[in-house]
Amino acid sequence: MKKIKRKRNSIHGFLINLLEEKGPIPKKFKKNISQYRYLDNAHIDSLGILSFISRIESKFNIKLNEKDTNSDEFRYIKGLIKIIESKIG
Amino acid sequence: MQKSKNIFQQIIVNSRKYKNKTAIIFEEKKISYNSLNKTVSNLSASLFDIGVRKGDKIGLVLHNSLEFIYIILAAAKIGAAIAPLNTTLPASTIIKNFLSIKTKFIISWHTVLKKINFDNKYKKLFKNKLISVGDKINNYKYFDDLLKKGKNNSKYANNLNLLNNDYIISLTSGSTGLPKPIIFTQKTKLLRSLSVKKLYNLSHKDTVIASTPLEHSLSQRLMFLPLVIGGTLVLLKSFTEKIWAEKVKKHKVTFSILVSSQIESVFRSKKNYFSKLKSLKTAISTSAKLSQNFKDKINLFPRCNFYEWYGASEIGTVTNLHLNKEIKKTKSVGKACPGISIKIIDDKNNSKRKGIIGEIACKTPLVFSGYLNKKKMTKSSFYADYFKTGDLGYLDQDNYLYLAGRKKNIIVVGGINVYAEDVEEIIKKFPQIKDCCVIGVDDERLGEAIVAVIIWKKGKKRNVNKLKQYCFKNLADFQQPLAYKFIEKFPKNILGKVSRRDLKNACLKKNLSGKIASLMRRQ
Repeated sequence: MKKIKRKRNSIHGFLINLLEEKGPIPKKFKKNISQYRYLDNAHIDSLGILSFISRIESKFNIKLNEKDTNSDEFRYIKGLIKIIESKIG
Repeated sequence: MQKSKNIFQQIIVNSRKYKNKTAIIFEEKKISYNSLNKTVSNLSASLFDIGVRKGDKIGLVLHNSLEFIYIILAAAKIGAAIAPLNTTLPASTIIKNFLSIKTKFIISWHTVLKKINFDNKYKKLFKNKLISVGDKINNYKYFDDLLKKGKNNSKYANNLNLLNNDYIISLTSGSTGLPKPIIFTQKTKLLRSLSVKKLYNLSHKDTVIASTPLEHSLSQRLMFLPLVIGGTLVLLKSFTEKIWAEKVKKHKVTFSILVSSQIESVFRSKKNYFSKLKSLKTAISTSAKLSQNFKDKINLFPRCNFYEWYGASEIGTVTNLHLNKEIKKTKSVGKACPGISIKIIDDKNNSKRKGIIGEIACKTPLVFSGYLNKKKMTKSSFYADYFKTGDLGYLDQDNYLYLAGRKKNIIVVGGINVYAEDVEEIIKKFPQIKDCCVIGVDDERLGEAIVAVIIWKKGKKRNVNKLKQYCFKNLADFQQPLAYKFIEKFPKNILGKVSRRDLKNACLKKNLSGKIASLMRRQ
């Protein structure tokens, strides 16, 4: 259980850092950051989305397919963590 | 407005005149003219305290933000020059660019600053001259502290005539080869803003939205324009058609300049935004041609006046076309703006007749001051007082300008100029690659998308995924190829050079940003 939690925290931390690179996460979302919809808030733009995906794939050695990236889960942090966890097992 | 005032002096005038009127809206924050004056005065005093002086160059790596505006205005007050760069450029490229123009200070988003490897030599060079924005970093100055600690000693700069000083240095080509730093003075930036004011009859009552990255000339003009005329600026962190439309509606925006791919994406949206945005009086498209499909349907949105521009960073806006009225000329990019003269010339600088394609050259009062420390390059880019744009086109009998291609290998991705050679040079360094040619193909979402056409070395194992990862690591977001095409040899023209046209024709069919579109559209 502890191991799972640690892994989740590490994915969470990585994603927050990745988003932070693209600019500050608005304060109003910081309280409930796992629900932050980074695409809808234009935190990542059209030019940055592919490198965002690539960085995740590279970090966790996974492949995100179209089904993953077109899903609603992909658009917020908690959902994205779920996708990554399912891939790394 | 008195023409002799520099940009910050104009902000002071407006803070006295308009006091608590909103000058800037960014996300949920509204900044009044009074508050803007005070913040910028404090910041410029702090920057002065840490050693920033008239003529110093400050490297700036920030996303669209209030901090960006405060810094650029504080530099105007002190007489320093700002060299802005995109935050997604690799750290090594950023530092190489700044060193090449002898940047004295660097103000940067914290994650970027952390990635820059300052070896001992540079550590000494930039000691106490690195300022982190967004978070504290050990041994670096913290931007928020500069805002708090500034003393209001405004006397030192206000009386200096800073209009003709180097003010903004635009590092257009910046990846591999030596950058081509374009110098703008405050006077040029002011003249460009005032020319827009005059052309579209704008006033302090107007609200202007800026939706492209502030490191680019277009967004800078949209930033300065409302602030110098006493209007209101709405600054977007980044663009999506939904957010743009929401902000236009919410803040009753009256004026907007967008890159053509942005206008097209607003137009294509199922939400029919252009019919609903009642406040928007003027929308201008620039950076690439709008589609005929959009132009044909323009009368569906009678409330808004649509214009199309042609221009370049070095010379600002050259032509203007009123799409609603000049309907017989919509294949052109319009006629020269007042005070600007266009010539079409051949390789020997002889003028060409009407209807004959040649290089577009322009004479304009909005011209840049030259390329920094590159007198030869500056001189060779002019013929008499005419700047040679590198774009090809012709004039018709009524003096309307038509574009017919580019001499330079520039690809305009989402309104950002990408030099093909910059991308090629990086890709060619990938060990398994023998040669690479980068081309731009038409793309619905981005205007143009980059395709890397590659020849592998014989006998080497091809690892496309590794190549992609390498590109993500070594190129900025706007330089990324959206497709890779692998061939045995490049088609050549009769001079034996690689025929980019033939390569382009071979790559035309795909809608490359389709994957991006499906990711972004569900907003």
